[in-house]
Amino acid sequence: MADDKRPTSFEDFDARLEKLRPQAKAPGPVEPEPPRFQFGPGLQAGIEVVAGVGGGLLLGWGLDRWLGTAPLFLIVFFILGAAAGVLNAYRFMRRLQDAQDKS
Amino acid sequence: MDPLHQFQITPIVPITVAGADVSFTNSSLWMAIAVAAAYLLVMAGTRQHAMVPGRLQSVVELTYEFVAGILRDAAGKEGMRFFPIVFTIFMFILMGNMLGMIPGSFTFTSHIIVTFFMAICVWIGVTVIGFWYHGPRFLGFFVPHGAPKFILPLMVPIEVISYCVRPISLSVRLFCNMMAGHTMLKVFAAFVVSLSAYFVIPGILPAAITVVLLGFEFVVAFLQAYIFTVLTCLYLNDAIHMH
Repeated sequence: MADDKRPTSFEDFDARLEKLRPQAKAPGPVEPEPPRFQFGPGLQAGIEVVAGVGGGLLLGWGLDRWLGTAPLFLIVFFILGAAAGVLNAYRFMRRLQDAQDKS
Repeated sequence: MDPLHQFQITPIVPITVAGADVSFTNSSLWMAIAVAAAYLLVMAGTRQHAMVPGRLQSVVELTYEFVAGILRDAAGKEGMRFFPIVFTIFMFILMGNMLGMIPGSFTFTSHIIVTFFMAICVWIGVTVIGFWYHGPRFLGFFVPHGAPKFILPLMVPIEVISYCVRPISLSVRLFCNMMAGHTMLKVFAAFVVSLSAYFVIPGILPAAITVVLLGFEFVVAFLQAYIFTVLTCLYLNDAIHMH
């Protein structure tokens, strides 16, 4: 029923599109792409560092309490936890980038 | 006027079992409402099975496609068998966050114990799945690829700790974002009242900020549900495919 009307409307649309095209392409300098999906990724990654240090400290403190080895494990796990936290933060940012590149 | 008053847990039906307080609180009530809302939404949306979906069916189909897309991107086809639990987690957190935006309601995701329990369940589940798929070879997950042999005694503990703090960062992220946002909202809303007590005009400024924050808070509510889901899927991927 509407088939015989379609081609004309398509042609009409094409004509109008052609007319608009040069204008759309005109802007000279490439505009910077708007930032996609910003939600303070730095802050989100920062939580990973805090969790790493906090988790490490908790683990070390618990081991010290259990084994009675004063500050030994606290220090060791503080350093390991900090390293783990930075590692997690790095991975979080990299995954975010991967996800953004894919979409 | 206390901006932290909104996080107060008040028992509705006090129950004690063997000395432990297991009262039905406002937190439990809103959890039940969240579950009911998610259930009703999905049930109402899938009732008609229309070829051309109506509004409600569209919402449900879009939600399904959205979560399925996240899971497929992150964990591949093998991950899809865990779709039910991932969809449940997403809907529960999303409903919790969004229902928390209703004035006078209770945001259960702003309590660390709630988010931590969810995170630890995900973490234990993912670990079990890892061992179920790979057996003891899953321990190889903690040995980084291509690292020189002499550095392994340092790298393995770091990897193990980085694996163990996952539930902490997962829960702290959701809890922090929800609690900080809601507190800020209440602080600025309280400014409106205290300023308007003297003049009307100065109250407009914090009111405008509150409106902006309210919009921002809706974004955070959705985004945190999304991030929790994405990270769950990524952890699932680690368990299924290891590296």
